[in-house]
Amino acid sequence: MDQSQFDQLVEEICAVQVTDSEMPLVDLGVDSLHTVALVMAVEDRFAVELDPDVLADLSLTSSAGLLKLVHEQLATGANASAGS
Amino acid sequence: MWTDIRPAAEMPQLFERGGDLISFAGGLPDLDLLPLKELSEQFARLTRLGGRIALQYSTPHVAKALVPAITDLMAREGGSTGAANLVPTAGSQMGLLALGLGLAAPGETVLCQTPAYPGAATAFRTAGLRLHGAPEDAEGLDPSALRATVARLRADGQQVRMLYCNPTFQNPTGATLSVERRHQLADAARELDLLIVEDNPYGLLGFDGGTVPTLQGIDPENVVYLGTFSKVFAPGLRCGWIAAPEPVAERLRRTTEVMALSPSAFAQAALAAFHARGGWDSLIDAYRERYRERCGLMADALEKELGTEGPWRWRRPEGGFYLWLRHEGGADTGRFALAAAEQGVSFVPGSHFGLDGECGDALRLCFSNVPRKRIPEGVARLAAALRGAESGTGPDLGRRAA
Repeated sequence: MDQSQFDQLVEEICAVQVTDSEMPLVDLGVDSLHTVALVMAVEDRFAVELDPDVLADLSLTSSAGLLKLVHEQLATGANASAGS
Repeated sequence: MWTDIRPAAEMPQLFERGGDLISFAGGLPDLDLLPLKELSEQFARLTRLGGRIALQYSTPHVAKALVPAITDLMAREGGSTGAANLVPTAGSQMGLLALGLGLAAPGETVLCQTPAYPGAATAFRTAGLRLHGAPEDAEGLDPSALRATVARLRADGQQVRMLYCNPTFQNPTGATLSVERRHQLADAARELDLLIVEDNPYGLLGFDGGTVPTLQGIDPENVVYLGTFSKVFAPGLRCGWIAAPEPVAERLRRTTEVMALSPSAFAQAALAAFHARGGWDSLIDAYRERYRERCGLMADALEKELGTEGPWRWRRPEGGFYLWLRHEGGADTGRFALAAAEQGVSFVPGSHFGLDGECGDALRLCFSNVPRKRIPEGVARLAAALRGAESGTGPDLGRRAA
């Protein structure tokens, strides 16, 4: 999934418009509980488990940051299965 | 020293269970249908990722994440609302008290559909309000007579502020107000400057899947709507909402904040996650099917045990949780409750649904949470209690009937 597709997912779940993938979600009008809902849905969609610290400082969480974490997690998972 | 300024209003004991008792009393949903494994995973994930947020205090607003779950439910019955109109509650019981405290002053009058949900009557009384039965005819709430009743009460100096009703699969009668009547009622209420309070816990539990347009959808600017997740999901999360015109919602937010400080963000987030993942259809369809079956079993058993020739009369409801039986001879069902308890079955005597003890000739049976195999046995016990009590008080009943 590329960034624009991921932005679309954020838009669907959070009912906001992602004008800038790097902009913190809170500045796009996404409140804290909605961010939790988004991360839960992202875990579901990508079958990954994200570090809860992703929500530790909501002023930093952005759509691009979340997708980066997802990709990192997917890569770790792939490496883990390749090594097993 | 403690001074009682007002007698405590009592609620019927609905949720007592245990032993061999078959309870037809409390309106409990059948939680066997909840997908518990899926929920435990979702709740665990919510705690892991969002515990620090969801378990914190929050403001008296419905979380934005939960709004789609609510608008989805309300749209199914023609209702529409938005975040600015929504006030979170810990279930409609809290909503009722909030309405009583926030939208009326002590001593003012609320018109109530009767027989009335006792929790509503108790909430309004606790808020210091006076209750008066709303006029009805064979089709239910009577908009024409309502005009006359309100005029009379106001001429007597009463401030009549609100009309409380539960128009779909009503608790306790199971009755549903026709669409035509709803429009007439909305018109009359607007004309009379009477705010309608629409309590709608059962509207999506029609056995055939059918729905009826809510009053809220008909006149959103003059209806305060009480919604709850208790019957379409589960009551234990204590989560519901009020949908009201914006200025009313703002006022109610202040009242609910005084009552509870903060809604449960965890409950709201859990429900939002459940809805976002799979929507409402499968759980609501499962509930409908379950209650259709239970209602059928109970009604069939009643026909078998009590016959259809009287003295007990009832109608098969088309949705909801309840069957309402009336004794055509006017027997006082409160007197049968003890005999029923001795037989190992419970029901709620009709007088609990009267505003001043009326409806004593009726009783409410709830079929929603009785295991299917226990329903015929429970109804047989009930019939034995009713027959025994009736024969034991024959002469008295004769006088009452005369």
